[in-house]
Amino acid sequence: MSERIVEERTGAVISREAVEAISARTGEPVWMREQRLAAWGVYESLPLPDPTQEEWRRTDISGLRLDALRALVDGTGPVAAALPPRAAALAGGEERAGLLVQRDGRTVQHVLDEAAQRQGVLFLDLDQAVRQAPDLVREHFLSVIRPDELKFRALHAALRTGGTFLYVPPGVEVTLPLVTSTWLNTPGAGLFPHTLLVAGEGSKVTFLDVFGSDGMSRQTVVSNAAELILRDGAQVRYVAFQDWGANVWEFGLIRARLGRDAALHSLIVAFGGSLVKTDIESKLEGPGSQSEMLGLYFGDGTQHFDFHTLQEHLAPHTLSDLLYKGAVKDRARTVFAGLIRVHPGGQKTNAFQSNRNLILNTGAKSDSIPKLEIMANDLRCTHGSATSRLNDEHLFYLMSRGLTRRQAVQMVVDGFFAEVFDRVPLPRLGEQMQQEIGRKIAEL
Amino acid sequence: MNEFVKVATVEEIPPGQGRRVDVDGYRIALFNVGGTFYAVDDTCTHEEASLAEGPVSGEIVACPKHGSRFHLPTGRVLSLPAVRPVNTYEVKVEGSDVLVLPQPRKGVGMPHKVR
Repeated sequence: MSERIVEERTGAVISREAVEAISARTGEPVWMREQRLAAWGVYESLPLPDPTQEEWRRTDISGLRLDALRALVDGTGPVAAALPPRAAALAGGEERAGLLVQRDGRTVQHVLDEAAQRQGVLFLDLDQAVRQAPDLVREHFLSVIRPDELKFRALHAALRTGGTFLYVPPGVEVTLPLVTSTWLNTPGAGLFPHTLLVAGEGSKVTFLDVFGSDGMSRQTVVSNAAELILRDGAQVRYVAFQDWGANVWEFGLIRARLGRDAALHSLIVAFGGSLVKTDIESKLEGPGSQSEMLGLYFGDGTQHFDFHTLQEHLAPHTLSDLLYKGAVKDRARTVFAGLIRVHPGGQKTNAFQSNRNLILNTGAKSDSIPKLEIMANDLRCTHGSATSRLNDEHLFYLMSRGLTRRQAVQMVVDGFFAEVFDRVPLPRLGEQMQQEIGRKIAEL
Repeated sequence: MNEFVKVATVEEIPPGQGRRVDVDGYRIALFNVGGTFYAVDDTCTHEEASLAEGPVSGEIVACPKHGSRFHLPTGRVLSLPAVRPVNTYEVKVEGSDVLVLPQPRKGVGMPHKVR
């Protein structure tokens, strides 16, 4: 019966009318409404990505049906408070300073520590932030990402529902992590969450962006975007943890702009979804800025993960260090394409890029394409990629010590991923990742 | 365990032509070679390209992108740049329906490896 109610609540397909309805529902200012409508125009004028383009030729989106997607335009109807237990578990047991839980783009739970509130930290639902801090939002929203970059970005900008606004004032340090948990509930919907993080000069914050859903009965599309703005000297740890159910297609973008001496530590974790195509980009615009980019993904069944990363060095004395590790089993497929681009003037740059893939059985496939584009002449860049199958000798050794094959595989895979875990000081998150990995291996 | 799935009718694919079909998550290229149907993996083992769009001559299809040739009945690779055979699939014709068993069989032969 609840299924039937959901059907009724979300009858509208995505359209200009849906954009207007969403805009009216949130009661947002005129500038944002106009931005949405302009983005809708762009969406209609842009074609789908061309499969012969380098960026898209390994990811087949011919099965995508955007016109069948339903917009989450529901009015002010009651939103049941209870979330599925898995959604609650996804929010994590990590000690935290604030929690924002959204379901289908609407906030169902919101807490922020008093201490953080006193410090002037704003941690809000983006729709709420537009009303409470209009100037801050207007200044930064869509300042890092342009709707006309890609059809999916335009769609995102037009139909954005919910999202997080996090503002940390200059000099403020938030010791405990802030968490947003985005839960998708409606099969066949289009969900467009947006994260806008502004870290003031010399501030420090950890933010966890958690996404999840149950298995969907039909194609459901998520086009999420995160804009991370780090002012001079800001230190940000950003984690995106994704565990979508089956039939969810994700087209995401995480882009950061770093000011002078700012430091970003990002971690992207991907376990779920049918097809995931996510871009992770760091623009090092201020001298001395640093970006650590970590990634961990594990595909099984017929999952398809495609990550494109960009380390863009625009200023001298910048550092970027990327490590993406992935495992594939069954008939899953992963693609990693990473680019280091050093602009003229990016002297004394250090840029590292490393991608490792572990193939657990025949039939799974992993592509890795590391790239360099260097236009400066005094720097240090390394990039490397390695893809290998499970080593039978390692397994034999472990099994000769009395372990079962499954335990042995688990141990090798844990060891493989430990390099990423060890660099993230969030123990509960590490446990959660290990559990998920264990669950995937159990079906081996 | 898997069952044959109807993917096309005989009339849809004239002799000497190919067509891409998606069955159970497998991308398969189906060919009509003078009335006999063959199915192989649609994606070339060298790079992303759809073999269904490649020219067919006799029992051989050439990749439309770089010209690697594959023997349709066995999946064997016959020329560079591809070095690995394509998987093949069992096909049967019932009346005017073409059915494919979505269960890849390893293509035979590695030209650079003696077995």
